[in-house]
Order: sequence, then structure tokens, then C-alpha cells
Amino acid sequence: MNLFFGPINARLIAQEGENSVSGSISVDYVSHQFSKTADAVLVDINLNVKAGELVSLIGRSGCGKSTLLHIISGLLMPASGCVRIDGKTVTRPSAKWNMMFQKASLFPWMSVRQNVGLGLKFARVSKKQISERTDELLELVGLTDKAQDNIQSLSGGQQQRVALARSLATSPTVLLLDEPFSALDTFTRSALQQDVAAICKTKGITLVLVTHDIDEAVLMSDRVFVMDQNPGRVIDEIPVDLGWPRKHMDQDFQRIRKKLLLAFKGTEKTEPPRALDGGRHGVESSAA
Amino acid sequence: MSGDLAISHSAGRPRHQARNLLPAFVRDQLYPLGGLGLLFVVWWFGGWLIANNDDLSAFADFAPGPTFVALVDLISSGDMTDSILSSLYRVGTGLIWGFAIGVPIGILIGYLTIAMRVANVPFQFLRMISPLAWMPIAVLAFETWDSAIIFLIVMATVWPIMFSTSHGVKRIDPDWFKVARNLGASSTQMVRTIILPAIMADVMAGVRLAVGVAWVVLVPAEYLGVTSGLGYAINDARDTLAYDTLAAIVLIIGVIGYILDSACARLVNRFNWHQET
Ligand SMILES: Nc1ncnc2c1ncn2[C@@H]1O[C@H](COP(=O)(O)OP(=O)(O)OP(=O)(O)O)[C@@H](O)[C@H]1O
Ligand SMILES: [Mg+2]
Repeated sequence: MNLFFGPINARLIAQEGENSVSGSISVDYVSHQFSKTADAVLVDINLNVKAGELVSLIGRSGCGKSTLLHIISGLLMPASGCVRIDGKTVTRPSAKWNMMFQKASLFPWMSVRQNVGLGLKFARVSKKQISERTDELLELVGLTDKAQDNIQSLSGGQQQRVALARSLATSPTVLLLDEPFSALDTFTRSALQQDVAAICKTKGITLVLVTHDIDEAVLMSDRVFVMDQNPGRVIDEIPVDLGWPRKHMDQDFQRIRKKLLLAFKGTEKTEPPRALDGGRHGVESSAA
Repeated sequence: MSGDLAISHSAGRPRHQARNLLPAFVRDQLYPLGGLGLLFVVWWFGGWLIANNDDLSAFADFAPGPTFVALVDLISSGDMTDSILSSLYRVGTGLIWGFAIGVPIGILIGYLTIAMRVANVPFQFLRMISPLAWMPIAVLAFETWDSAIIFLIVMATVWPIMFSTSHGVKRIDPDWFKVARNLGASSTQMVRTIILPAIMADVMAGVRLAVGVAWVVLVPAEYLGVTSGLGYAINDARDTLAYDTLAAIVLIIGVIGYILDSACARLVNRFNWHQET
């Protein structure tokens, strides 16, 4: 399912490839706490993502990655600081910057088609246009033959593809992914990783990917931000200067992976009990 | 070789084939019809016992024979039409009110934890009071018997509808709201495209329960005051010792109840998106 080599799908992507030079994100001094008395979850986050750039956020569980993504999407307002997309402050969610979650969260009373076309229906696009666009996207994610199916009869990977198509339907300039592949098996995951990176690259969509998985970060991004916890902050930024598509076996891949591992290990000292057993535990398993 | 196979096949088949000769819809109905037949036999046997008991023989008209004669009479004379219509009108009106009150409150207590915590005890308390127990209050509070009866029906229907609605709301996946907001849903779109379809199956399950309770409560409620409806007709038949008519009306009540329930079951299915397991 590598879209770089699929002739039909590549044509579909190319048709729209011209659309976006927009989708730059700037996160300025964002801090957040869930209540006045609670500890800060995020402190002074500053990030700049260029239009069309693919970036990953990695960090340990609970360091505030999802919170940051929700703030970027406009689903959550930060306690202080602001997020701008293409220079405009984000004050509410929009179909132009779309978030995808770990669960596909499809609507089970709608068919696959209706799920994909939902964003367009909300935008009051005509039925005919919705139908055309839905066909295109189903072809893009390889689910044309499932169009009329009940979503409860799809596999986890297929559901995640429908969610991807649903997110892409409104032609977003920014895609925000919160560990969208973590519930999938290895093969499905690696196919989707390749596809999503390919789609974003060719369409010029800016991608912010939250992940635990160092390989995934190297595989899918131009730059990786490493976050530390208590309070959540960005401690490192590592460029991934590799060509596309990427292969695990490449020496350069392994070199960058090591660099990330080191940076990731640096976040560990804030977790005293772990440090005792050599400290490698969590890192090794999540990178395996 | 293939000849052998063919023979052994057909030898093992005759019973299946006999059953397959019946049209599919008849086959589906075999067990329900059997159950119905059984009920009929019990009824007929009861009637036979009564007829042969000197103390009870005055009630012999309860047996199937006289009942069906009375039923044909009732139907052909059209005497029952008015009763049925006024009963259906009361149940229908009560149900509409129960729906109009139950659904919004159900959404509220399903959505707001505080509302649930405030309302839970009083509502569970009120729910446990037989709707018929409201009769004296209803009679005082409402000018007409009709509205008093409708009030009782409302008291019967509002609880199942309210509680299933709140159950449906609680089953909504919060991520659906996030996804929908993210896809640009306005508040009305959120209600129409997400919330209502999400809870409709549960609301309809509540309506089905409500219809059942309402139909059961209606008959005793119509014993009082009013001069129309199936409950009144039963009472009237008892007073005139027309036991065959009485049994025929009971039959009509049962059949209509069954039809109403099946209609509701279809509605539940129509809106049900929960996966069967
Ligand atoms: N709605 C909320 N109310 C209060 N605290 C919250 C809320 N959501 C998250 N938190 C807290 O904020 C911190 C960061 O949570 P967040 O979900 O952003 O972490 P994460 O990096 O995404 O973790 P994971 O990798 O496990 O998904 C956690 O300590 C969590 O307990
Ligand atoms: Mg998270």
C-alpha cells in the first residue's frame, strides 16, 4: 500500500497536489493547567512548523502531548500563550486543521461513505460534490469496495483509513494525529505510516504527529520534538534529513534513531524508580 | 461413486425436505403459532372445566366458542370501533406528553452529572409509585375524566422514556463530539446529526416499554368515570353479565397491545445501530 508506488492513487494525489502552501503553525509561550490549583501540564511551549512540514512530538506518557495537540486544534484553549495557524490565532476547531485520534471514532449509524462525507455535509457542500469527493477519497485510502458497508464490520486498520479519509475530505492544511496507529498490528501500521506521510508530502499538508514510537517518528517526519514531563516542555529538536520513502535498514535511519533514543533517555531522570533498573526499560520496549 | 453419494444424500434428507416445502414465512412462524395454539388449548380446557362445574357454569361464556361468536358480533356491528379509538387516543396523547417531557429531561440528566445526582433519588421514588395510585390526585387536579386518564398515562410513560434516554446519552462516546466539532459541526448540526441518531435506539427502546406500561394501565384507568374506551367496555360487559363480550374485549385488548408492541419493536430495529453480539 505504499502510495508512492501505487499508480492510481498517485494520480489522485497529484491532482490536488498544488493546493496548499498554507498550514504554518506557530505555538507561542503556551502554558496550560487544567485547573487553577492543579500543577502545570505544559510550560512555555514554543514551536514553529513550516507549511507542509512533517513534525513529530515524542515524549513519555503523561508529558502533555495530547494536551498540546488539543490546544493546537482549538479543541482546548490554553491557560496562556497562543497558537497561530497561517498567522491567525486559533480560537476554535476548524475542518481546516483536522485532528485524528488513537481510536477511529467513526459514527456507527452511518455507512463508510457517510462518515467520509460528514465534514463536507457540515460545510453544506452539495450532495453531488460530496459524493464525488467521497469516491475520490475512498479510492485514495483503498476502500472503494467497502463504501456502503457498516463501519462495525471493518477491521481496525480499515476503520483508521476511513477516519483518515474523513479528515482529508475537507482538504485540511494541517493534520494533527494523536497516536493514530498505536492500536494497529505491525503490518497495517507500517502501511498506514507510509501512506499518511506520502499523502501529506504530496498534498503539502502540514503534519503534527504525536507518538511513543521512535521508529514512527523517524519514519514520518522532517523534524522531531522531544518533550519532557513535570511540567511538560520541549527539551530537544532533532532534524531528520532523510529522503523519502524511508527504510529502517538505512544507516542514516539508524543514526538518527540513536540520536533520538539518547534525547529520549535524557527525559528519564525525572522518573526516579525507573532509573534504578538501568533506565533502559521503557525506551527499549517502545522502540522495539 | 457419484451415484452412491446421491443416494445417501437423499436418504438422509426426507425430513428436511418436508419442512422446506413450506414457504419460508410459514416456517418462521411455526413456533409462535405453536405457542398460540397451546394458549388456545389451555383456554378451551379452562372453558370446558367451567362449563362442567355446576357452581361456575354461569361463566361458561368465557370459553372460546361463545367468545368468538361475540367477537364476530362486536366487529361486524362496529360497536367496538369507538371504544378502540378513544382508548388509542388516550394512550397516544399520554405517550406524546411522556415523550415531550421524558426526552429533554433524559438528555439533561444523561448529560449533566449534577442533574443526575439531584434527580436520581426523587425520580426513582416517583417511578416506583404505580401510575394508578395517582388517580385521586388526577381526579382532583383535572376537570375532565379524559385528561385525568391521560395524566395517568403520562405518569406511566415518562419514566421509561426518561431513563432510556439518559442511558442513551451516557453511552455517547465523548470522542464523537470532539470529532464532530473538529469537522466543523454547528450546534444544531451536532444535535441533528450526532446526538439524536446516537440516542434514538435507546429512546425508542424506552418508548416500547412505555407503550407496554401505558396499555396495561389504560384499562383499569378507564374503569373510572369515562363512558368510552376498552376499559369502560369491559366494565360495562361485566355489569350486564355479558361474559362472552367481556372475553372478546380482552382478546381485542391483547391483540392491539401485541400490534402496538410489534410496531415499536420495528421502530427500535429501524434506529438500532448497536452491534449485535
Ligand atoms: N481533562 C483533564 N483534566 C485534568 N488533567 C488532565 C486532563 N487531561 C490530561 N490531564 C493531565 O495532563 C497531563 C498530560 O496529559 P496528556 O494526555 O496530554 O499526556 P500525553 O503526553 O498525551 O500522555 P499519553 O502518551 O499517555 O497519551 C497528565 O498528567 C494528565 O493527568
Ligand atoms: Mg496522549
